[in-house]
Amino acid sequence: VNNDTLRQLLAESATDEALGPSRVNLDRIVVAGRRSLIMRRAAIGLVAVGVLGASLAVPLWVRGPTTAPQQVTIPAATTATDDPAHTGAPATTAELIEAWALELESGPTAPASSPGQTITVTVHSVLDGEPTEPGRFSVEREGLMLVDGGEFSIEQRDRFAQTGPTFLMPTAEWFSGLDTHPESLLQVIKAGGCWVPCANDYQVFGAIADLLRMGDITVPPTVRAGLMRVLGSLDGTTAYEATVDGRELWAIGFPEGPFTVLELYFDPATKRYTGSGALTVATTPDLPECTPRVIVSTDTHQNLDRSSVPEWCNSAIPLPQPVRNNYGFTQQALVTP
Amino acid sequence: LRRTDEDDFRAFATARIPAMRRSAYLLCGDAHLADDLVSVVLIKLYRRWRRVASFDHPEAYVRRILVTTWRDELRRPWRREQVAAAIPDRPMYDTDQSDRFALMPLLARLTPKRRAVLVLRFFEDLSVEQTANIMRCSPGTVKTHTHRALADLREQIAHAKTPVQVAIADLEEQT
Repeated sequence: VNNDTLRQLLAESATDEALGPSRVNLDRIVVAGRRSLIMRRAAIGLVAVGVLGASLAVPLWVRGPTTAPQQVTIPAATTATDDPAHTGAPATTAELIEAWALELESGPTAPASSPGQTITVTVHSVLDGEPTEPGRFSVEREGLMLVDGGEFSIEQRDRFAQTGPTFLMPTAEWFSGLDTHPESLLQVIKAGGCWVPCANDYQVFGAIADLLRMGDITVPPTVRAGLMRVLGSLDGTTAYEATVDGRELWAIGFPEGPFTVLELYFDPATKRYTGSGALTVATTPDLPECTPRVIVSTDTHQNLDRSSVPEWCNSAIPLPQPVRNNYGFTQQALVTP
Repeated sequence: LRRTDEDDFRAFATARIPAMRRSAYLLCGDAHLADDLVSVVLIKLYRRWRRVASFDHPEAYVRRILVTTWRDELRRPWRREQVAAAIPDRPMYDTDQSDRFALMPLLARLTPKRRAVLVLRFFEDLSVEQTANIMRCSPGTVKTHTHRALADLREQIAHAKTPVQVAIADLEEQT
């Protein structure tokens, strides 16, 4: 085939008629992208597993039965560095973490492991205040590797063959030999909880979140308590009781930049991890001079020119009431072949 | 992403979506799957946007994600039966487009790498070196894939039955 003929034929084949109307929805992509940034590594798996062939916006959070954006209040004086000695003040993060960790220690023991077991994870999410279709994916119990994640699964198996069990890819036996003291647990997470050694507290938080999202059901209660204490030791962590979707939960918040606090939820009733969310705690100034020029406007979105907007327009204005309109709950079921 | 980054992302995506859909369609041969691929690529791009936005040529990076995403998709078991790893012996008959040379069924018979090379080089108009960079192989491998892809197409066209296909086959023999 002559090169120019081929060029022409290729161009003629990919016509608007052949393609039909675009089904690419940028708004949903942005929503999925935001979720995925927050739940980074788990998201790789979810996107790999679920997007193609099924629905595009694979929920990365799980949804509860009903929902509207929720107004929430975080007690002001609860940071990990607060001095708990003074009396009469609300419980500090340090006090709450220790109390909750003690509770978690008496949580349910992990079911015994057997060959070929998988964990089916079902995620019900609320994204931007809207409930989404439940998402589902499976991981192997031993190593938490995606059952059908395409290239990512292959990558995970190679990795597992190289490193053996790590915090990223734990096994029942590995959990049973773990020192659950928070300081040594933190070292274990930093060394093996990320694909490259975890560089900072944000990544440690993410590593713990990913483990719990996929494999909480396999985590021994003493390890879960240890993870709670590790979370409490991270710089900027806050602990508070939160009502999410009508459920009274223990929340651990971790700041992601000036606008967002990432949250992990534990259920006092089951003494297990139950879900995660993100609080919007600040916004940018809503002033005429901060309004960018519209370049393109369509039915679904606008392209804006922000280059003319002054830099201070990106500064964070704390919201009087933080808003929680992205969150979800995870259900995990062990499947024994 | 901060709002400014997100606006940049939207602007870039909006500008690139039509071209991405065409390339994806030529790669996978299915309009719906093409849109799925583009969506997955854009989610991946969103995740890396802050880094990618600083590249001189983010388009090249996006092309690479598209090719790798498509090839991941080929590895999915439920899609595997649709992928012809080798050209079948039987001739091609294209019945519904008698007056036009139907390229898509021919492309479908190419191996994924050969197909990708054709799309990148002759639809995206990339050089051998640019294609090699996207495919993560040597320029020599790109040339080999191109040569074999064109040979495969020729062989199929030799079996083609429609007048236009025959005419093109004749034309090719002269060149």
